[in-house]
Amino acid sequence: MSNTLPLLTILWAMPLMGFLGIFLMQKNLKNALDNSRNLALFVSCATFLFSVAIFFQFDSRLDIFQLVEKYSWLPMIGMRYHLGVDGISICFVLLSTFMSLIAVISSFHSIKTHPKTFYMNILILEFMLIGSFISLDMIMFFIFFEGSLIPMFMIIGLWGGENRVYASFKIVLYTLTGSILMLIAIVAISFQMGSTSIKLASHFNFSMDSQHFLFLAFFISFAVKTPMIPVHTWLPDAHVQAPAAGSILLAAVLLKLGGYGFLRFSLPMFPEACYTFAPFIQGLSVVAIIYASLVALAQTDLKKVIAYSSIAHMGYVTLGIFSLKHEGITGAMYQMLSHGVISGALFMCVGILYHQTHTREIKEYGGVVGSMPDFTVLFFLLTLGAIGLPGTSGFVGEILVLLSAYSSSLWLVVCAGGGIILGAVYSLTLFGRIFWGQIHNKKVKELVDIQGIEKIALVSLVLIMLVMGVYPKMLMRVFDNSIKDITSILEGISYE
Amino acid sequence: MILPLIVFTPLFMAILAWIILPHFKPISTHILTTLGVGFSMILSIILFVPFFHFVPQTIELFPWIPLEGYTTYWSLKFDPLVGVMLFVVTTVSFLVHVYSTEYMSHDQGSSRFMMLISLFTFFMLFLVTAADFLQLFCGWEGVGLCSYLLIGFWFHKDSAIEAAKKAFIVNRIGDLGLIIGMAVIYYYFGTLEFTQIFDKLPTMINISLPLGFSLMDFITLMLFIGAMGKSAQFGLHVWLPDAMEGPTPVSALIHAATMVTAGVFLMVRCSPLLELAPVTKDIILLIGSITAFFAATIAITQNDIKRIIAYSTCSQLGYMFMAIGSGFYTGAMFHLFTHAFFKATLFLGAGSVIHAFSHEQNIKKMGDAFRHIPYTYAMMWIGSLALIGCPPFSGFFSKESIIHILSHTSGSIGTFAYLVSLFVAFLTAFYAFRLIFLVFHGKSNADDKVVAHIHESPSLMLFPVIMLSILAIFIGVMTYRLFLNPDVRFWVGSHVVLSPGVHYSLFDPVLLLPILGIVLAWLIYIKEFPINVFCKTHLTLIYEFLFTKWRIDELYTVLIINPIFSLANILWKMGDEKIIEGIGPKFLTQTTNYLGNKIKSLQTGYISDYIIVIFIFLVLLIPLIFFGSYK
Repeated sequence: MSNTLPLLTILWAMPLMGFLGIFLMQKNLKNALDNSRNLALFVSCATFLFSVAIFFQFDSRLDIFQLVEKYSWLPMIGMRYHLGVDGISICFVLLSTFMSLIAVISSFHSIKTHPKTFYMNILILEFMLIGSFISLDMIMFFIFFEGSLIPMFMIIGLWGGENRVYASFKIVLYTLTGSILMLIAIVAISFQMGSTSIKLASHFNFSMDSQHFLFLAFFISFAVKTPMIPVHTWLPDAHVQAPAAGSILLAAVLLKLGGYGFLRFSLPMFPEACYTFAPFIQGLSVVAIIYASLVALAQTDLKKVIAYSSIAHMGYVTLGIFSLKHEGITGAMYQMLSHGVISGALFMCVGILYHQTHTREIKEYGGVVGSMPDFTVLFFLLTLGAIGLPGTSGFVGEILVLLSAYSSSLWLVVCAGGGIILGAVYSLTLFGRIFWGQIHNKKVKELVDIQGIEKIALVSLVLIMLVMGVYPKMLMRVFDNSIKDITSILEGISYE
Repeated sequence: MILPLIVFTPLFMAILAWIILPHFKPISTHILTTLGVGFSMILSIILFVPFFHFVPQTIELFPWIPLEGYTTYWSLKFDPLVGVMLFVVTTVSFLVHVYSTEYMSHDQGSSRFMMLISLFTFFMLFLVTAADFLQLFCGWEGVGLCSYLLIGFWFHKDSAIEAAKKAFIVNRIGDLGLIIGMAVIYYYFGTLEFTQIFDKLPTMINISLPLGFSLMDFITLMLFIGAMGKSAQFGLHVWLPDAMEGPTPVSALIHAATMVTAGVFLMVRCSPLLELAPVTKDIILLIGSITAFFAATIAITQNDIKRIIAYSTCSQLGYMFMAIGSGFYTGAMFHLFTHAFFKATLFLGAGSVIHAFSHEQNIKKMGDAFRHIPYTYAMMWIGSLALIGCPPFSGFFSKESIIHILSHTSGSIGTFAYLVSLFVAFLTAFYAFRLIFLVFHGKSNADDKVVAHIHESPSLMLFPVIMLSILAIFIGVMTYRLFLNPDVRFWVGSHVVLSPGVHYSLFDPVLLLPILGIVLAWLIYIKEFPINVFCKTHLTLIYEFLFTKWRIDELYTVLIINPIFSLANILWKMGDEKIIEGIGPKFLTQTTNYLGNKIKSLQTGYISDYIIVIFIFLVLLIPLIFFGSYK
């Protein structure tokens, strides 16, 4: 490669520098709030722009992994400082930097207590997320994967709602349980292979027995993160209690670590085990879609509806990935990116509403369109994206997943399609109850429409959603080769 | 190129209207959107009028969804079938635009309204010009979306919100069928493009699926479920009457002339598939006749002027599906074509009536209005005569041809459909003239205040209705050769399976039935023969059953909606909050606490206790040390 600058390290260090910058600020200054949030905005903006530059640097026709940096770190266990991106991870890097920027913007007005610590947490979370998407070493990945939990724990536990302690306790309990198994699996791989390189492991022939064990260990960890039924209950609580920025990053990026893990670890490393467990996981995904959609239907809390809808949408992701077909995986990948944008934007919307009314109860709203017309249009478009209407990004992922699911079974299509109907029911009910109807709450009448930087952010999210829906090739071109690489491994197995 | 201009002008105008909406007076958006659709209409007529110069073609715009080995394109397809649809959609849409500028002028959201019907027009055009199933689905959902927003246009009313939601969700149930159909087609054909699918048909005939379906039967059945949702066929029709919550121009454009016929369009588009699916054709024939019958029986008892016409639409759609079920695709298209004009006439006429009666919709509270609103009266007559199939009017040609073909359809379902089509022709005449007599004749039942205020609509509202009624009179006689004569090369290149020509005779005994219907309506509502009273008192059960719309809404509430919501609550309260929470975090923390407490009691602090423990372990260990090493 022509460039010699360690681009990924620079990218990865940028939020860290911002973190240090805010850390070194004086705490008791009057304008600590302004200073810290402006610096956070600047840093996240710069990181985003830099990641865009890297995105264009990336050429999907060249190698699978690009911008690789490799240094020895702990030679006795074969661990290396090993960074690199392929088509899949570069998209996620872009998603994380962009959504971090959105998260910072969404906390502009809502975070008043301990702003310094808050923005430090956001930036360190961004650092962890970028790190986990660009590391090509399992131990590094594990550190970042786990590390992302700490700032999330702080964000929920310190700036969350009335029940924040329980929620933050639950997220840690669940995720930790899963990741202990992953750690064991990583140790086992390192013993077998003498290295912890992800690239090596994806072409290493693990024996059938060890594949099953390793697959399950990784699977549980990623399933918790995704989250899949029945290890999903941490998500609604975490979402409901988290401040807007926390929800945005949680829904948009943190959940994608699970799907990313499947694509990076499970599929290429343990292809035989994938074929063994795929029917079971696909069944579980369909159950998740129907179950979460039904539960979303019964919710009275605004954030919980969107949280459960996230679970349902991630059900399409796992359904697509474990179809083990090119289209299914492409669809799942696209669904993850699309869900990142849409759910992030929806949680931002909820944050805007909550900041002004201080209630999450759906029945407290009604007639919001009267006082916030522009906001209503944007929210409606996002709802359409969540429903998966053609022309929005949500449709592309869902239809690819559904088209590929038929090759496994008709019933998967029927059930997952049933989820589409239920999705329309709860989404439109939510929209109708909040934005239409008569105003019966004084606070709703006093709502102020979005403006300024929040409006710019939301409009750009909606535009991204529409562009992704109308011209998906733009992104698919980037990660297509990487997915072909995965499917070639899978197909190599199926023909043997 | 003309085609992209036709399709995208309404979209462009809608977006432009949306952008300038806050900055200009509403009238500017009215003019903008109307001109946009008018432009599309002129271009469509240019394409449609030189019938013999259709050049089937497909314009690919840019790639959409890449699938394995085949990429779907955003594209515009043009063939005779599309030409017909373009003509219908743009003409009715333009006239409805003109009508709405006046009808909605006093509404605060009139600009939003114009923008939405323009957007709807775009999606409808996008649907009919689709070259593959995915894009068709995009237009399909797009029109559903606009329908949702327009039914819920008066979003202060809870009934409107509920009706809008119902329309969208019932349509989604149909969409599930369409999605499954697409998935199956994609799996077997490897493509979703119409032409490629039809080309590959011969190789796919003998594939059978589990459950005893043949491949073609299954695919077309799934597509038909999608069509049932959009076209309000029996079972999935429940949204259409409620959709009348929307403003009347919407009912005319979306819920009579265009969107609801999308299902018919889809079926005709897939006619080569249907020809290989005898079972599905029978099912379509059956569902079509049930729909025609049940909707007509409900229409004769309703009192809301818009709902009567809505059920009539439902019933006429039933005719179209009967035609499809008997393989008479061109006849279905023909009826779609004529129906669009006369039903739009009726709806817009009804809008004028409602307008005249100060927003009263109950026909029992009207009467004796023909002197005050003569033009509207004439339009309603024209629309009704076309609807019942009176000879020179357009409905005659399409409806009679369908009944004619049905009379030659073999099989018990065919006979059933034929009898139903005759009986429904009678019922249609009855309810159409019941409406006319109750609204325009007899004695006035309205308040004096309302009566004093009855007035003819302004000319901007009359003009479109007059135009539509002219079309409703003449379009049938002008075009029936084109549609029904298989010798004309009109349908070339459209993949529509043709059917034998129909010869009309003015002395068809079938014509007697509508006359009987009119006479009966005249006897009851003008001469006041108390037949209806007799029916109400002596056949109460049947009357109630019809009046409550066969109780289907109630049935669905009990059988589907309530169970789903209770299940949702059970899953949430029991599944998530009790079982998973109980086994997961709660169980873990409680067991940890419990074990901790128990083990804590071992730490007594007395040295004697610890010595006993050490001693026990030593006793256990010693044998291990000695015997363990022997192995």
